Amino acid sequence: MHSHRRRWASIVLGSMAFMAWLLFVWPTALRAGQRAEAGGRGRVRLELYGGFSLLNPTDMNQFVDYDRSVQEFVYDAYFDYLRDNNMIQSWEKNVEGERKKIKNALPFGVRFRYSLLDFLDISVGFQTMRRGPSASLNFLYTRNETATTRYLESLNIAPYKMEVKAYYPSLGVHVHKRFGRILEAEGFFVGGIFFADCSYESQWNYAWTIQGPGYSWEPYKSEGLLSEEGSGTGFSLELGGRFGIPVHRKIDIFLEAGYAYQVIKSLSGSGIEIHGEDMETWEGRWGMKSETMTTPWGTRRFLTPTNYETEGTASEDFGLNLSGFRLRIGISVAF
Amino acid sequence: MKRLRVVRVSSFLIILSLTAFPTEAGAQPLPNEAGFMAIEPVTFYFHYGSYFNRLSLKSSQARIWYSFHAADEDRPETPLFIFFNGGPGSATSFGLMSMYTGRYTLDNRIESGGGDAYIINPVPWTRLGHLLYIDARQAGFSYNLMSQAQDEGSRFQEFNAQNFNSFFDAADFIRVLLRFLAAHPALQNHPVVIVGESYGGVRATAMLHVLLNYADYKNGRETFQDPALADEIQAHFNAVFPQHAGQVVPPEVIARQFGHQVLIQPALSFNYQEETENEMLTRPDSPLYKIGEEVGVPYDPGKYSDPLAYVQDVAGRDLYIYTKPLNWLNGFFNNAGVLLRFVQNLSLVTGVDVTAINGLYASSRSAAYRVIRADYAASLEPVASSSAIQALFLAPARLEAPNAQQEPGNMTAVFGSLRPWDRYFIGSNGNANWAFHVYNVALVRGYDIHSWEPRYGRMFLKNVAHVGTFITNAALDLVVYTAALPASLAKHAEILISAQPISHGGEARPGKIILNYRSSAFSDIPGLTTRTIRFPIYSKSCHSVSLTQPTELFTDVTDWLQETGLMARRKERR
Repeated sequence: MHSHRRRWASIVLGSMAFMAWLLFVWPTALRAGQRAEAGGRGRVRLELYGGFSLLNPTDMNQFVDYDRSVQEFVYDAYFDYLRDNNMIQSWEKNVEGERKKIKNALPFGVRFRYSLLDFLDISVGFQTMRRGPSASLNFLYTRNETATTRYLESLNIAPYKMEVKAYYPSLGVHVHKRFGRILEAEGFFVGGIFFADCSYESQWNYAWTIQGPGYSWEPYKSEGLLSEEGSGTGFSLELGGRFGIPVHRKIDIFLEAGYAYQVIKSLSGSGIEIHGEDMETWEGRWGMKSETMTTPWGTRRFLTPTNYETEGTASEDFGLNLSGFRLRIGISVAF
Repeated sequence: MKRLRVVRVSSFLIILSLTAFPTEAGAQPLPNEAGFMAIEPVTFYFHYGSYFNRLSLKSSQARIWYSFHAADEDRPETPLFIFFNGGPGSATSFGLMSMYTGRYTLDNRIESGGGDAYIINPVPWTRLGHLLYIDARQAGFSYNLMSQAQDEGSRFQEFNAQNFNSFFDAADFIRVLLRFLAAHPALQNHPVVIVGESYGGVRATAMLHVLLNYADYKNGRETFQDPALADEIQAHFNAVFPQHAGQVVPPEVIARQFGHQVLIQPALSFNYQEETENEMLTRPDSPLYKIGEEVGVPYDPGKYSDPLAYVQDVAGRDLYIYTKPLNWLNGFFNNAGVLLRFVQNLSLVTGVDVTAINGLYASSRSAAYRVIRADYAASLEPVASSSAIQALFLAPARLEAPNAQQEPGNMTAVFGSLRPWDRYFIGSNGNANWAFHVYNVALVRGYDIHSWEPRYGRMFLKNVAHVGTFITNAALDLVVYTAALPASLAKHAEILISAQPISHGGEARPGKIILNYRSSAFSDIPGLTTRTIRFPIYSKSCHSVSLTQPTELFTDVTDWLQETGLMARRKERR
């Protein structure tokens, strides 16, 4: 509930700042621009762009490291233990698919900009960015219990999916200089409120089969789903530069690159776990939870992102860090 | 085959006989009771410290059979004895309930394959307290229910960890016990004495550990987590210990009610017990040399690497009583299983008119199932396993299989014809048993919850810090060779400095085991140094001590309960 209030407060404050920009700064700039236009120098432009963002949301990507390392511990390390203690003869595994981390995203944006001076523009815009790598994983573990009996454990996970979504209104200052008749270089600084959502989903089914001479039995099978969602608010700051080339009297195309700092330090959301006929749902703040698994074959510590019962139990804060380099191509239309 | 005598007693005579039990002046006995306790589907899980990587399981609906025998005299301090046999998957009805604890008992005087009739028990434990017998899930008269009972594949998947594992099995017994107590407010705060035989030692250990440390079975500290059970236990303690209502009740307080256990040839830390037994049975003073002399096939440890296989397969002796031929004890169990399928016998032994029990009628159990394959006998095909497993689990089930396949008695005539996968009575349910040991996804996924695991030994030693303990030491039992028990407990070197047996030679009564604890044994039990287990020897006894030396066992338990202060010393009882 608190996180919702914070989120709405951010939206209201951001909207007020945006309105202030529209009511006070933008008309002033417009009048200055009209004066400049009268001098033949400035104009209002609409720009659309899309591109590529390099990301490394390490806390979010920890899902992959956690799931992979826990699975290796409870399957691979366990089977090694059984084999080394002569409780099984041997084991092997067959894997199809791979868990995918979030490494990039596809941003898309729109901005209005206005030239205040020959070398100075201001802008207001809106960007969005999304990435949701999904994978289908099939694991088949074969334990040769005896010379004639083997256990097959199949674990199929589909989809295994993580997703980040961000959307952020922004205000910008652009300093540009034309070189020759066709090339224009620009440096920009853009900032604003940053809203983002993240989610994790793992839908699985497991089956255990016993095979022996002339028989194949399935004593146990189960299926389930774990899904967690979060959303939060932060700030976005981006610094970059661009080159533009006119392709028409009123149309330029441009290529711009920059580095964006976009971090949300507090996210909250819902979660659901389904196991067979049982379902549990929850709401919570995201955190990094430490788990220590103590088993007959060893003890190991894991760190997992989650929003399940983290109050007072999370060992570290969870942050959604979508900072990174951006490369965009766009079209700028003058009015 | 010998014809079994059926005790033909009408319901009217049963009721008359109930009122005729001896009572002390002024004490009105509670009515006897028998029937089914409904256990709803329960969601529980196992974990090793990871919430998201736990094994979550949901049990099936069950009707658990119980039989309550009111004490001859009811006083506020009269204890309630809760009885169960082992297996796992074996019935208490044809075990302790039929073997010299209740008012009627199987006759132990028949030497070979005996026990062909129920007789009046000269040493009924109703003199000591109330008796509550419970058949484990799918054992005896207890049965499960499911919506797809007609589907063999679905039934196969029912016999797995969600219904059969040592912790959930203990949880079943706790649920039945607490619900029985809640339904009988006059008994709710009475002291409870847990009496377990064989695998019942593991069950008693798990039950007591859950009861004494119930909060840890909800807060994630224990591998087994059953939040609903922890809540049910809390509700019980709120009623019994109102000064602690709403709080976690400390074990020393809980032990005021659950502070005594009588363990008959128990499995406790069975892996260590088996290791120690194998070592002891190959020593020069091993009884196996004497068996070899008697049967004319000398025992040679170099030649027979498995001592129990030698006794059973070479010498042809009963592992439960090595002086007798193979299956001597199982013959008693089997006969009891046959007799109990006659309605009049079941009414006689339970002390109630069982024709009034709705859950016995075929019309009320259309969703019931007891076995995977309708051809139950064929489902118990030989499986490679150790002699101990063969003797403990498979041999009784196979011996009983013909009776489970074609049920004797008159229950079909009285209660109706059951579906092919249902049975009125299964003494040792081989399907359930195999689910504990083999077809168990919790074991496959690496949870160390099998009854062989040392964790039960550790739990037992922790329980003993709070719970007075009596263990039988039957000299002729090789399945649970209790002579090996002190040394096997001492293998828990992280807990004990020593486990020292004290005896006085011969029929050493009272024998004892002195447990010397390490100061660091349990951080939550400061100051724990020594505990004494009562450990009398029964030189003529088989695994089922109450069958072979009933008077001695009754006397020893009486003396022990008096020594521990649970029962007042009254000479007139002696």
